[in-house]
Amino acid sequence: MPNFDEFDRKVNVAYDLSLFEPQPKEIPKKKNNIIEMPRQRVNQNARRLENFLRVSSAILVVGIVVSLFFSLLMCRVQMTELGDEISATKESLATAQSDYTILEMELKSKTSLKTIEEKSDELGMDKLDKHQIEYFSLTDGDKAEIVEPEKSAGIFSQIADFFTNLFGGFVE
Amino acid sequence: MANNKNNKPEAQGNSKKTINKMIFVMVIMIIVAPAILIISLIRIQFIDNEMYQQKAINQQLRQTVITPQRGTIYDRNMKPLAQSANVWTIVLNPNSVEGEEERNLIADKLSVILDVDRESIYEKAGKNRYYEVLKRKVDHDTYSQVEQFKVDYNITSVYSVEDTKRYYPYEDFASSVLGFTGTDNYGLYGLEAYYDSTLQGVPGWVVQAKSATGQDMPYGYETTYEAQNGTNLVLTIDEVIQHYLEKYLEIAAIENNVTNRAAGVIMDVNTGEILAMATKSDFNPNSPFEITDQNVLNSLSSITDEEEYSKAKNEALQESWRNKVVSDTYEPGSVFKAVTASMALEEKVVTQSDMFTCTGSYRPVNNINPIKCHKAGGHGTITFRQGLQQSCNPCFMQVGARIGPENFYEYFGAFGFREHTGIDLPGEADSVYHSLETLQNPVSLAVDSFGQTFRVTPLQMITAISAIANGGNLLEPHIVRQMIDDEGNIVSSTETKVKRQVISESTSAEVSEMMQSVVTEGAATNAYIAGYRVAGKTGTSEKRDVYDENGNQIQDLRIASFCGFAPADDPQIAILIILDEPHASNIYGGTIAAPVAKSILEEVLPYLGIEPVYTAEEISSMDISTPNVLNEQVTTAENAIKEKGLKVKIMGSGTTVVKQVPVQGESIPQNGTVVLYTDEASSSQTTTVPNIVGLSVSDANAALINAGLNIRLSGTGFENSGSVCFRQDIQEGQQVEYGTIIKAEFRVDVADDAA
Repeated sequence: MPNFDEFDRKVNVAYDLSLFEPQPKEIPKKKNNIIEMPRQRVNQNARRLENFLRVSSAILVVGIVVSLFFSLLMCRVQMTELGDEISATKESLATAQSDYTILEMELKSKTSLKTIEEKSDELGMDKLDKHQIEYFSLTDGDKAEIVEPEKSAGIFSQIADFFTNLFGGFVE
Repeated sequence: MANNKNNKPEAQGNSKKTINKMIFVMVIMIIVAPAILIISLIRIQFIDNEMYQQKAINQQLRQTVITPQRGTIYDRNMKPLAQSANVWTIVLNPNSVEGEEERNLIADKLSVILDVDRESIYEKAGKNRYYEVLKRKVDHDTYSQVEQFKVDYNITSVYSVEDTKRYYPYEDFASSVLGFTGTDNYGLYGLEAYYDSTLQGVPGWVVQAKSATGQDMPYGYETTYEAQNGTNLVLTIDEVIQHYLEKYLEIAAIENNVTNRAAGVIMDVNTGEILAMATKSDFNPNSPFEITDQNVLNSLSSITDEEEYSKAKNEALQESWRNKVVSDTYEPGSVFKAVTASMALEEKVVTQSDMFTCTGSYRPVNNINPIKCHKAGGHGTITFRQGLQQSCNPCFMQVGARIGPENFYEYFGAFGFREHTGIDLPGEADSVYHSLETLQNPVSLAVDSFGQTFRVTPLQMITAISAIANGGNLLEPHIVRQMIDDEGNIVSSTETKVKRQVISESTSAEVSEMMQSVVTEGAATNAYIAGYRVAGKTGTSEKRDVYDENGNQIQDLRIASFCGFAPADDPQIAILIILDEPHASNIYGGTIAAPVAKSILEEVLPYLGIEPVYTAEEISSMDISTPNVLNEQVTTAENAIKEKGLKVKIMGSGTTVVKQVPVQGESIPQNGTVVLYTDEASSSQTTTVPNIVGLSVSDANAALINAGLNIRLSGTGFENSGSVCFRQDIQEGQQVEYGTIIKAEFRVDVADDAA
């Protein structure tokens, strides 16, 4: 059977029975301090924040990338400079080594045996001659003993010796 | 749907045919074009890849050569004898010279800096070329001055190219052994040439990426292949021994007016190491194309024709570079008798006491001219031992006949005379000798027996004598001891190589003893050294193959030589001295070559740590040191002097010695006289030096004593009765103080002609 109540409620326009129903009381809206922003503004603000974050991160990323790029560039520049410095130093080293060789050769030339002999002749010097060496004969069993001079004892040894002698005397 | 003129409906959009065409074209584009690309890629990547790779490398990469440092040559004690250093070549680009002003500026300034003729620079600066060398191999100082000049005057047409230069610090020292390098740093002579590949090293490379403009891109791509510097050579040559050899050889060459150069070599008999090798006159390897011999310069200066001058100069240069010890052959003469004696004793065809007769000449066969002995009257009847001592040709001709041609030929080869010694030097000459067939002729055998009519190198001769000295082992001589790298690590080492045993140890000992007697009693007394046992043999060979420009044989040319070793009882070193074409009053080997060997051995043996061992007789005849008696009382001074075994002569009437001659410490012969001056008046008295040249030891001593002077004996052979004075240091007629010591040089004039 059809639900005539519902049907009536819905189609019964001749009698607006709702007028006879107790009307819900209208609760007055509380006045609060919250100022509700219009939805549009809320969204706008959210978008602004988002934009800001996006821009900031973009700037940050760009900044990092640029920094990386420049540091890479600086590294390259420094490497190039160091490389140039190394080359220049190597060149200086090679030059210095050559100069050393040339000077050493000149020195050897000036201090050759021939030059030394010529100079010593000029100075009237003589080489060691047989007459400057005294030869003596040894028979079997003879030996030569070289007596070295007694080394002087240090101050501490002397002090120790003094006390040793002193106490040694007492002991005796 | 619209209608066309014929009122038929028009088609809207592409027709099927058009679409098909489009599809076809697209297929072409999608399939065919890529296919072509793929095929090209395959061709480029796989078929022609190598060609394109190379092109890319050539275009994108730059290769720079790293020149390796040439190896250093050291003596055995690590003293550098040859070393390279970086230098620069100054180059001019004449096409970049801007105007006459710059041309003059470059000529003016660079002629001073480079020490080059101004006009030559000016001329080069005007040429239509890109590359003109102004000066090669300038040092760093000069290079810096050139660079400064370029900066100061903003010159871009002058630039420098790096190069290397070889330095020889001791100049002509061992020049014939070391050789020299050319302008391109390749070895041209001597060790520099023989070991050129070892000394050169391996060049390195730097491969770098280059930009489109040709600039280097070091961090685009760079690979370095380091150069391997040349290996360094450590020679067997000892700088000290070499010095003494060169010194006395040069003196002998000058004193005896040697016109075809003098040569000498010293060898370790037990290892084959060459301790010294020299040829005089030689050259300076720092400037090998300059002639230094004054005689040669004089003869060149007389040539006016340019072509002839150039040819003569070239020949003179080649001659000066030639290592006579290795590259020249000579007839050894009587030195070879030591080898003949070894053959005979080894084959036991003769003993030391066998008797031989020398009448002054000998005929190996009848009906030929007799072959003479150097002693015109003959030696008479002598033993074989005496035959060697006196260098008797007839004696050795007879010994040669006993040895026989087959044995002689065999031993000749065994002693190394038919082959190269194998020394590591270039240009070793071939010997010239008789074949076995020719030796069947008794005359050839006879003459070969005393060292004539065949030619060997001096190196072969000393190697053979070393075999006699070391117990009979023929060694391979060598001059490079080790090869080392820049860090001092040994790359390779040369070991002693014994080729073969030629004679037994007993024969070696016997011949060594006989050769020692040649020095103590025979023709080589001028090589005797007090305190040392020296063995040796002299030689004076005749040169028969020298002709003048008309084809006539030049007579009376000789080669004086001495070959020996010491100490005779424990041989360490052998020495050979050759004076080719001496022109002096006496040209015999015993007279002019033996003293050279003596002088050298006197220096070298103590240097090698071989101490003299004097006999009592030698000690008794040695000089002593004059004692100091200055300011002493006369009596005290007199006693002090007499205690030393010296005599005293007192001049003046004072009581204190105010002056003494000789002075304290000066050497004075035993039994010499010390003159004591006791007042100023007497100290000004002088005496005249007499002439003692040509006098014997006793006569010279007497003459000097009579003049109130002392004698100092030096030279050679003065222990023997045949010794005469040939030089005095203070000349006859000079006024000197009483007691002055006159140094008198003696030698024994020996005749040792092998002809």
